[in-house]
Amino acid sequence: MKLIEALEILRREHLAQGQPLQVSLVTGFTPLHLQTFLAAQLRILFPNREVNLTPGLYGDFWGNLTRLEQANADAGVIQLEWSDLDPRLGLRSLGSWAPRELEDILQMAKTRVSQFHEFLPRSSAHFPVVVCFPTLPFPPAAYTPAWQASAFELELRECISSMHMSAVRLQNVRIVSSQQLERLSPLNSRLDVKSELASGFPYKLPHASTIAEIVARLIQQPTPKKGLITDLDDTLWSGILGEVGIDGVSWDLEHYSHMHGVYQRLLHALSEAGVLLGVASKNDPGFVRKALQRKDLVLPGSCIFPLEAHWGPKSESVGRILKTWNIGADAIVFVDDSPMELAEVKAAHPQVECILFPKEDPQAIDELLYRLRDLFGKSAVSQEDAIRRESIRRFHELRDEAGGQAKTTADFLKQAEAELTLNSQKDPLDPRALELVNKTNQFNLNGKRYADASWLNYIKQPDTLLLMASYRDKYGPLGKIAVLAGRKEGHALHVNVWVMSCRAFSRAIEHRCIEELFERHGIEDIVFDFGATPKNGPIQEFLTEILGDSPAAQCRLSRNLFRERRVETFHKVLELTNG
Amino acid sequence: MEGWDSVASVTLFAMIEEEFGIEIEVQDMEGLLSFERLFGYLRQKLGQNR
Repeated sequence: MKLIEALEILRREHLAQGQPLQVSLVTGFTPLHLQTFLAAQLRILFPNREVNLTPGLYGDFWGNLTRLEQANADAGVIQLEWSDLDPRLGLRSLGSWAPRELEDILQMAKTRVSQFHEFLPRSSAHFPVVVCFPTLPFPPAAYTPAWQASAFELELRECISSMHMSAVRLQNVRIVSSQQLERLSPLNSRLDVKSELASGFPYKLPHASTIAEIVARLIQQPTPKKGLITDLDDTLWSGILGEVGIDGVSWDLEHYSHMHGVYQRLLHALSEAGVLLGVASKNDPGFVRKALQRKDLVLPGSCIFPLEAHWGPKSESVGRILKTWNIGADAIVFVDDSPMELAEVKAAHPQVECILFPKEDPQAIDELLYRLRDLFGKSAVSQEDAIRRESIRRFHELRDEAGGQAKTTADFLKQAEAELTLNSQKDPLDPRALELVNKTNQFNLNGKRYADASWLNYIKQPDTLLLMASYRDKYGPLGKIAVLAGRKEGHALHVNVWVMSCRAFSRAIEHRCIEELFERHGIEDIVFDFGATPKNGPIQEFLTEILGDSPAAQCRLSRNLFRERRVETFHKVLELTNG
Repeated sequence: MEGWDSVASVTLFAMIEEEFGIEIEVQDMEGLLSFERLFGYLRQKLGQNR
């Protein structure tokens, strides 16, 4: 982004709704254009919110860091540079670089590291903090030539590494990837000497823009995609199965097809991190099943569910897979080596991200791996991630089996041995609750998203009630799948937040949750802070069914009406008492 | 001009440098206090570069 574009974005009129996004910026230098770029990037990512960026005092990085703890912010940004460890590591100080002084610089840096270890956990306790460690070239302070690393430089880098390690262990801290920064902003194009001397702003504009873009993304944390559908021939493996046979397809160095193996390795890693993997292939289904049983596959066939192998259109395969996964088209990626197949799927499902597998170009395949990591990347892998695929597979497989015997959904649920575990503890607060609130689209009462700080603030209010539900049945666990939060006012409970994972549909969990609210809180009414969104059809359907009318804002459900309209549930309800 | 300060000046010069691909010397900045002077400076600078 150019500076003039950033200013133009900030100048544009926009309709701000809700609370402004408050971001505190900790730097030792004057943030000048970095502040402008960051504000513009945040305006793009949060189009409906006013963005307020608060910089600290010039030249007082450590004071600014100390004050961050008290900031009333939704996020903090810490931009550290070498000169913040010791001013002698910057251009504007004329402190000595004499060899005898280097030890003193090092000692000062170590003191600063201790300060960092002390203050970062405190600041990040209240809101997420993005940290960017030194980005500028290390100054020629040591007595070695540039091509020889000095003990002085390496010890300082070790200090930075120890700061990295303490920061990365904190749940609320997100660190700018120095490798990504290096890819986008080469080291020798970062320092602007003239600007540093004239105004105390050390970055060339493209570098400031790049930092701002990465930092803004870390503040926003885009929702990762949930599922990937891949083609097989000349994509998951090299060769056409129908032509070369089961033993003829390859993914190894010997057959010059190694990058297909590397692609499989990434898909396996994604699958283990909770990404759903499906296959859409125009092939003989029997052949495909046998090929996917090959023991030398880097991506075990068991990671794939469902498998759509036939001669029909791939758009239909994608449609069926979406239905099985019960997720929206905008949450998936489709990878195929054929531009025609990609176009056919895109025409039927415009929201699907369709990506060409560049089978003839190993370099491009390597780049594809980075792109897929970006699309599916997340900060942490949860227990739910580990069981997602199996729970979907078991539910579908066993429902098909049970379908022969069970006449109705109720019959099916009756024999499912369902257990619902409820947790109403607010301390310690389970981070999964906010994750569910912010990523659930379909069964979501109003689609409201929360920043970490505002969620914490809402939940910590003494009158806020929280209920988190985990589910398991004889087909396996689903993990933590629903969150309800609200406030009791007289004989009514006002529910502000209600989300449920799409994996938990068709199990009457929503009915049981409502029943529990009435029983636990001795209330006569539940008032729903409902708001229609383009995606929350499933909760609209549920509320229509239970209320007997289309839901409106602040719609009310009485205990008597619920008794009349509820469906029978068969869950065994357990209470989680130890967190 | 009301609301104009040193930050606005630095931003304007940075934007001009970026847009026109030129370097404005720090000592020249002090003299570029009006549109006419800036315009003349740019004409001269761009003429020199071509």
